[in-house]
Amino acid sequence: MKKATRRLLILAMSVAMALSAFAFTACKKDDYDIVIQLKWLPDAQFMGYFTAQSKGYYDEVGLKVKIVPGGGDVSETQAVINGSVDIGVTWVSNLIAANAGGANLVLVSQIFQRSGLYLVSRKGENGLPAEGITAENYQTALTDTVKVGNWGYGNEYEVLALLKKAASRTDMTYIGQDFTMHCFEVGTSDAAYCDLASGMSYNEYLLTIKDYEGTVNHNLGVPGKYNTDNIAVLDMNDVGVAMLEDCLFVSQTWLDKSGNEEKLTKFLQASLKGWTYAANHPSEAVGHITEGGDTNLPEHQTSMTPEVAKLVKYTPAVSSAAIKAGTATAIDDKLIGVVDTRAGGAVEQTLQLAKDNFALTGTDASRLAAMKVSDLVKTKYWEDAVKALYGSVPSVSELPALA
Amino acid sequence: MKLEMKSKKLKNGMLTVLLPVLFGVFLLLLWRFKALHALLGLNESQLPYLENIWVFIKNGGDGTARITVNVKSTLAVVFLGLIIGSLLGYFVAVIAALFPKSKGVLTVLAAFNAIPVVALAPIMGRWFPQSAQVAKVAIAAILCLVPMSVNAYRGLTELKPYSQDLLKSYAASKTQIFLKLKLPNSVPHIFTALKLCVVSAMIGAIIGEYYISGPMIGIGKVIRNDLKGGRLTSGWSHVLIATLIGALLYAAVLLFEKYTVRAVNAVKTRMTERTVGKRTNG
Repeated sequence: MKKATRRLLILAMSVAMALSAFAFTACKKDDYDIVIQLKWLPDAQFMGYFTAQSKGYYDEVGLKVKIVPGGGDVSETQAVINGSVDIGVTWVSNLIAANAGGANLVLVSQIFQRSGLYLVSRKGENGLPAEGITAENYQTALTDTVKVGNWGYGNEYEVLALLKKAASRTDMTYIGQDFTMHCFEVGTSDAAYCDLASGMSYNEYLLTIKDYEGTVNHNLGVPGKYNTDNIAVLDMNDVGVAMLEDCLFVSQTWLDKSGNEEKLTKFLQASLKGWTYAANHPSEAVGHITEGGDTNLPEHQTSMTPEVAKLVKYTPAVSSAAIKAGTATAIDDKLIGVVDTRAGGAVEQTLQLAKDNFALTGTDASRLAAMKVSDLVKTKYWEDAVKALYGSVPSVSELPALA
Repeated sequence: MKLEMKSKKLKNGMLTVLLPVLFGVFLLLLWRFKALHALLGLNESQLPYLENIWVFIKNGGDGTARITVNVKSTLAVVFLGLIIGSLLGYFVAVIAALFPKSKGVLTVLAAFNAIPVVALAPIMGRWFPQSAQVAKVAIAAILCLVPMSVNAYRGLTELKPYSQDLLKSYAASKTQIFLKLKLPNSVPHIFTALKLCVVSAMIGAIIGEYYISGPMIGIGKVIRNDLKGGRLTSGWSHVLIATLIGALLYAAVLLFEKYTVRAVNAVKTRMTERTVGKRTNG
């Protein structure tokens, strides 16, 4: 075609492409009032949100909520920082790391009151002590020959703090686990093998002691091979290195936009109602999770939900032995999701462990050193939500006394 | 006349190297003075400032990632994979050139290339469970083997017209034809393949570190770990380091190629002078 016509066509196409780029940014997420980014794949770990959605709690407060699953390489902190989602679920250590890097993320509700990270070992196998590695013997039993595993991604700080604390340990490295308990299925010469593997109390630990599809016993074809008798558990809360995990967080930039503070309070109101219901009715929660699109089998979800409920209802002041024995005191329903901002409380302990173990450089290090609990947390929205739910706001001092 | 051409060649050569380097420096300056942040609407927690990355690198890393340990591990995988893959690839090409009936092997190998590396990585992890390092080397080797075998085969079989017939007329044996004609002919093709191999080995090593369970060591492991865990300074520092290593390795191959070509040409000129006699206007 003629030169002039060709030039005109190219100009028209460039303009069309540029305009379409603008159109893309315009239709980002206008359909939903709140978009929440989960930390992992949709399962019992987030049962409160699925329950709230299933039982219509979000509709009650007039919010259209979209629950976005995490997993794989999704970074929930980056999603909130970028503004592609409104609210996220993350571990407090990741929030601290992001803020040390210059972000302005704000912790608004602490759903899991205590850490659910276990270190599990097979009693007596591969030179481990007959009782496995426990809170009582780790100082001497956690030698350099013990292969410790964790997934990484910011979930390793509690384990690293423990390795630092163990007197008999000089090797601070660990094996990178995948997201199954495959490290328990392989032999000692395998690169993925772990003596002491990381597992969440509500997920991977159950994969070690149960028999249904997807568990270690099922994959090995030996039902009951590993059970509560021959698997030892090291609870992070028992050894003083526990860091807070699942919390709800937003960015200050998002909060500053008009209307978002009200939306957040309403979202918290409905979500806390969902979490309270799920924690008190764990078997019913399984159905709500499946409605929301689960990725695990119903049997696993049924085992998971009561364990998740324990993390929501018991503070770190309660011993794991008491929880196991059933003699532990749960927090009042009104206190679900509270952020423990007391001096010496869980948030302060998490921040202190972060300062001791992150070992950053440059401005990241100075920001972390100067960080205070009040920089991370804004309790106003949780307080307003609880007031809307129950008419009165309980105080943080109503939580069980610190050890 | 000769001097003018030489200086022009030099100027062209310098520009070929200088301009890309200047562009790289320009990008780094944009980053350093936060112009990139302004242009793309980013803040510090999405793209760390370059001075923080510099402090990180100067310190050799921080408590979560030591740079030298990780770089050593990745480089070991890259070099081993490169050497093993290239040697095996060349060997396969030689077999295919000597026994024309086995040419199909190259097609099968090319099919291996179609497997996305993110799928290849976990497979190699399962095939070599004893050592994550071996599995990573296997990935890098496979990614090197394919381009090397295809290119070397072309070098061994695509000869100048009638050159093979010329040697046959001199009663050259098959071995002599192979060593004196086919092998030197394949050298430029080896370098074409090496340029691909070096980059593929780097990619293979890093992706392997992403997906293979094992010791938490290697640039890919650190990048994946940090970018998801919110430690952007460490993550981006390792991204920059990986980029730099890739560029340096590629430049090394280019230099090696230039040196080899110059040496081969010098030998050729000497051989021509010996047979034809010294030129009259040297």
